[in-house]
Amino acid sequence: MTVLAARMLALLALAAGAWLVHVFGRVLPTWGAGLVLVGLAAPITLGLARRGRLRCAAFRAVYLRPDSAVGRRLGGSVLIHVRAALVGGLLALVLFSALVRLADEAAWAVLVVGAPAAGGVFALWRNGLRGTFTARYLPEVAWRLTVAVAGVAMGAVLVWLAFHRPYPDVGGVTLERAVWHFVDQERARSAPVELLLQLAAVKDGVRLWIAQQLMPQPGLSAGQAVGWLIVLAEEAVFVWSYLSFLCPVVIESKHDERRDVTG
Amino acid sequence: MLVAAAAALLMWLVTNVAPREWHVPEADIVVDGVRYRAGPDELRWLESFTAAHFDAGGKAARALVADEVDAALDGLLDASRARLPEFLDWYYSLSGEYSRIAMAALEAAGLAAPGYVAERAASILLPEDAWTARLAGLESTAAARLSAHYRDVESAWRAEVAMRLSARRIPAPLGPGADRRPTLVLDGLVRDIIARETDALGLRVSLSTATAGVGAAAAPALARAVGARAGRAVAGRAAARGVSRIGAAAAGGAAVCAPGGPAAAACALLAGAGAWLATDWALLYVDEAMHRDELERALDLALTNLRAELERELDAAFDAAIAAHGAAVQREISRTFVPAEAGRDASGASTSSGDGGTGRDSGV
Repeated sequence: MTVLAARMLALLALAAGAWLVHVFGRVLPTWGAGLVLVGLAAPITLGLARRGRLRCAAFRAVYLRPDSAVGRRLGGSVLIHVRAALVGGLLALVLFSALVRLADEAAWAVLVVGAPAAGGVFALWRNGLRGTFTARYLPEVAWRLTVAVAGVAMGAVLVWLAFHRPYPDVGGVTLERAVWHFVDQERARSAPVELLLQLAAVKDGVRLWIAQQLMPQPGLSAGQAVGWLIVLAEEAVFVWSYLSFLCPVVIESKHDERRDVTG
Repeated sequence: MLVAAAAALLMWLVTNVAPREWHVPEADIVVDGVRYRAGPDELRWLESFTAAHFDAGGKAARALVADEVDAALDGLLDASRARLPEFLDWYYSLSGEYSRIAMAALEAAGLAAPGYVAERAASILLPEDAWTARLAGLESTAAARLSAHYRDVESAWRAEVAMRLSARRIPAPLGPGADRRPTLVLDGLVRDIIARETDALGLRVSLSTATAGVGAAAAPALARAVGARAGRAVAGRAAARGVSRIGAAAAGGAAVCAPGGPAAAACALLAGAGAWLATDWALLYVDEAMHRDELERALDLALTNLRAELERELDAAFDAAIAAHGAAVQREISRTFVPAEAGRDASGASTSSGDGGTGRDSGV
């Protein structure tokens, strides 16, 4: 089995893990949901930290002398990991609520296909840019371009699916009823999980109510554009968190980096 | 190849395996158009409270009706007692005496139905018009008070339910079918209870009509008691009069018309008749002086007994109507709360087709 195939299988395993979060997220006890959150936050944090170290190493290599005091102290280890853990925890919360609430099968197909596709795109970029970038910075560049390509593609499909999804008519009801309609559908065994899901539902209710108040008639308008920009931003955050979840499998470990450097 | 197989397997899973839903055993309750979300504890409390509240309302209704019956019968019996002298005057009059004698003769000859005195007593003491009017008044008053009472019971129930569930108030769903939870529209329950209360009033109308018949049947019983008491006096007087009248008539005729010559026979007839009447009047006078108070007390006691019997009859009739209403209300409560059973008995987690979830992208 090639490295790429093994990596794609690992990515599919992560996608399957994300799907299991969707299947069992509402019936998990609080401690189980906590473990799942840690399971989501850990790879995101690992990927962010790994990329941060790559960027830091690139900065040191370009701008600092190896024998300087600043160069010795700017390892970035603690700060990078703390920052990665904070962002990873936040993205894990976003990813968890999004995965649990994602009921569209077509959207799940996008996530399943997107996982190995991200690995393939990354491999293409890495091989294509091997002669251009240094081995140490190559994974970061290839990942950024992978996120740009695969992320935009996934986000575009998800927005397209959102565009064709039927929504309840909340144009003639109060904001309270609109929000309650969404909040009331969110049930979970764990109270914190239920709260998290209901907060996400509040966001959906407010957004849909405002959107339908601003654009009661179909057609292009400034309000409609703003509404879709919000949807786009949401999809972008979701795709970003999902790809960040896949990142540590895609970006090579230090061992791979050394192998790339030497070979 | 392996990657493609794994991807295909995962694709099949995401499109064929539904997520596990967490179902909370809750139901929506609609009272006065306001929607509340109730859990198992609230549902149990609401059902038991509703049953107990309307049961207590039924008990209070019985007490209320008993008061009404009591007041109506007091008025009825006071009027009857006020007519006692009228009956006694007739009874101790010559016309009354000869009426009884004439009717007794016709009765003996099989030309008249028995119980003349009884019918006369009933017609004087318990006149049909007064009896019917009094029962009609009782019926309308009781119906009005019961109606107001049940309105109060329902208002108190609504207020208590609204107060106890105020913290569980929720907005109305967006449209029909938007909420798949069991929904108890208790406005319907109250409407049904009101309808059944109206039916119960209709039942009471027929019952009061039937009770009027009971009164009409009870009146002869009262009068028969009077007749039995009077019969003994009449028999005593008849035995005495039989001898004294004949003797007085013969003596009177002989004494007055002895010197009359050819007109002595006609004179004797008139004198004898006069002596007969005078004797009867004197005997009636003596009988009245001796027995009127006793007869009045006997009639009063009979009226009192009749009142007690009528009170039992009327209370039983109204109790039956109220009990039927209460049973119907309890059945309605049990039937109404059946949809909540699904909410109570639901297990925590179950597999659904995924329709309970909402899309993450529920956006614009």
